[in-house]
Amino acid sequence: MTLVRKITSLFAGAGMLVAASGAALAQEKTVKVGLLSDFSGVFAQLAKDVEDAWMLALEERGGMVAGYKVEIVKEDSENSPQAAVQKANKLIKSDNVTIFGGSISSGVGIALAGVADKEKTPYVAGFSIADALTGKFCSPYVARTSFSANALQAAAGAYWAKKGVKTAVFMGPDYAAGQAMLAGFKNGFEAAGGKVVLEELTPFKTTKDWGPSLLKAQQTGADMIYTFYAGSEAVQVVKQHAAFGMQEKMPLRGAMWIYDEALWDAMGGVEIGAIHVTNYTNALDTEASERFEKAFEAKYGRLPVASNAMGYTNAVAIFDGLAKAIEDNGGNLPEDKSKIIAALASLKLYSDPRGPVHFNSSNNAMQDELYMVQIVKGDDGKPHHKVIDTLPYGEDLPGCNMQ
Amino acid sequence: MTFFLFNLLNGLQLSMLIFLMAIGLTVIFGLMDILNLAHGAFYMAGAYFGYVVFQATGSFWIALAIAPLLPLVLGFLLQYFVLQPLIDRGRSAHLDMALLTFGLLFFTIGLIDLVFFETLGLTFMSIDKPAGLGSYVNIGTFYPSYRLFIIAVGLLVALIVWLLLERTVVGAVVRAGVDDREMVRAMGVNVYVVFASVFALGCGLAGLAGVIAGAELSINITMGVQILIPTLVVVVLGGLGSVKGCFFGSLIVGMTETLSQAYVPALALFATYLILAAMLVFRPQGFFGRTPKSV
Repeated sequence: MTLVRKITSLFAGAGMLVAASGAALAQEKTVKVGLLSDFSGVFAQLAKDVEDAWMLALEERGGMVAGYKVEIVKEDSENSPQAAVQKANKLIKSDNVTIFGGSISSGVGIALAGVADKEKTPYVAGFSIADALTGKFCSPYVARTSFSANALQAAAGAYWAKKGVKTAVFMGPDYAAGQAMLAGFKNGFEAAGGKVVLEELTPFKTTKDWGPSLLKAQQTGADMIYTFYAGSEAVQVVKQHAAFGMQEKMPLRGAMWIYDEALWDAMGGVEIGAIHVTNYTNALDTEASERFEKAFEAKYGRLPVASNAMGYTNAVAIFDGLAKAIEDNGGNLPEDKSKIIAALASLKLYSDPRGPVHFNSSNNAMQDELYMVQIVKGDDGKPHHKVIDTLPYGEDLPGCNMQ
Repeated sequence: MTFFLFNLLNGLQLSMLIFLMAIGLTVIFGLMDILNLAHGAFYMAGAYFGYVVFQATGSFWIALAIAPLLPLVLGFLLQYFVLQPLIDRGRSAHLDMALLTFGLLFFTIGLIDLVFFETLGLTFMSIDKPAGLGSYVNIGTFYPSYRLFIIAVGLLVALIVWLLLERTVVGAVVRAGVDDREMVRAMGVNVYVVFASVFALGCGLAGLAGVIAGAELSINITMGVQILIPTLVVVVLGGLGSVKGCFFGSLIVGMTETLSQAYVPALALFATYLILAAMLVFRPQGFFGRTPKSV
């Protein structure tokens, strides 16, 4: 098959050469797009998930946007702002990318927003959910296709308070993301009548045992624990919470990270029954999510997860934003690259697998609603998501003053 | 009051996990003067091999029995065929050994990443706790039975190692080796085999800790580096080569981490290091270490 294709293209190429002889050789127009993500370090899996979704979106567009051939230049930001700045400068100055995106870490995202603004080269965050990215650091060269910490967590906080949960303990790692998640949850939960009775922030990456924190939570007699942990910390918290026999009395809830599908194997069954908020699940049965699920499964042989969906929105926004900017400029890339972000932010992604997505005035993605899912044991004996409720999307924190 | 008691149990549990790691490191350092930073790699080898054995047999107990053999054998080979020849050639400065074993740790991490993540697509793994230890017991409050098991294993290993070193001929040779290597050699003991065996035993215990932690925590690529730091603190606190010192050092580190997290969270991040700094200023040889005879 590939050989046949190669030979055909060889002939086609030769044919073109003959046709072009004597006349000016029609040059193929290409646009370079940087995929800068945390391919090594604790976010390696998420970065890989985003890359897979990018490749699917590119394949669906035949590798082209508005007559330009897309060339992806991949770089590793190593979950380090310093490395990210270095690689972004390399992408911009030596690879001449027109636009770049895909980042995972919030620290990396904020560093990249600075580079994008200074170099006037568009950057589209794939995750990087720190509120400040589209708040204090917002720029006409920066957009984000995921969400802000506050938008997700305030929505979840309000949901639980309205469900009759009166008191909650918050547990999370003591660094920027944990604090942002806590602030968001508290905003929504307390505005709707709940009360956070204990804020248990544990030293990030150095906590070895959650026993003391779980015992402290027990002492408060709160209705639930709301938590933000990811990766190996999430596995340990969930397992130890179950081992202390707290699942009945004081359920452990949170967003998609604490009960990420990638962690289910390591949790060994104690995740069954848990409820968490998410912005995408492969259990959704909308037309758009079913289409994405089928296409993804056909290409990769497995079901997509939330990080795939977020990578997909990221890629679609970049490719379709580029296409729109080129079309608006009479078939050529605009000189002023902020027009690409403007075009991207004007997109209405009605058929996004997460549900309809649009952008607000600080270029941050907003979606119609969020999903409350429960992990249940399917007929195949394996854990699955089940959508048990939907909830309105939260709001971004103010703070963006775009010049 | 019960809150305090359960925190003591938590502290004891963490102390025992750290002790299983630190005992090998301290005896190796005391006996052979090698700062074996690859100890974290042997811990990982135990955990990952434990996972493989568990997947194959479905039994926690078989994994616990078999998995430590891999780091045990690897440890013997490393000491006998790599480290010892280097020492004989004069490359035995602390820095040489630390750099070499540190490099080995990162090589192991890279290798495991290549096999488990890049090839098999596994990021986070776990070994299921055995029936009977997977649940909790009601002793005033629900307390995880597996934690009691960790405490029991730690105390048992401490007792066995202490008996081995203090009450057997093997132990006498090892202790003599710590005091005066040349004299032991002069008395006709094949110190190379003794050294490699002790090295192997220490690595095996690190592997055992890896399997045990693999069920309570999670098996992932950062586990080896994470456990290494408190382990090094214990070795410094307890004094090089001292089993007793290692035991009490582990208790201090485990209890400090647990109690500070429970009562003074603001201190949790650096309480242990505060103690470490004070120790280095006032008693650099550790609790039970002796003043070095020569430098």
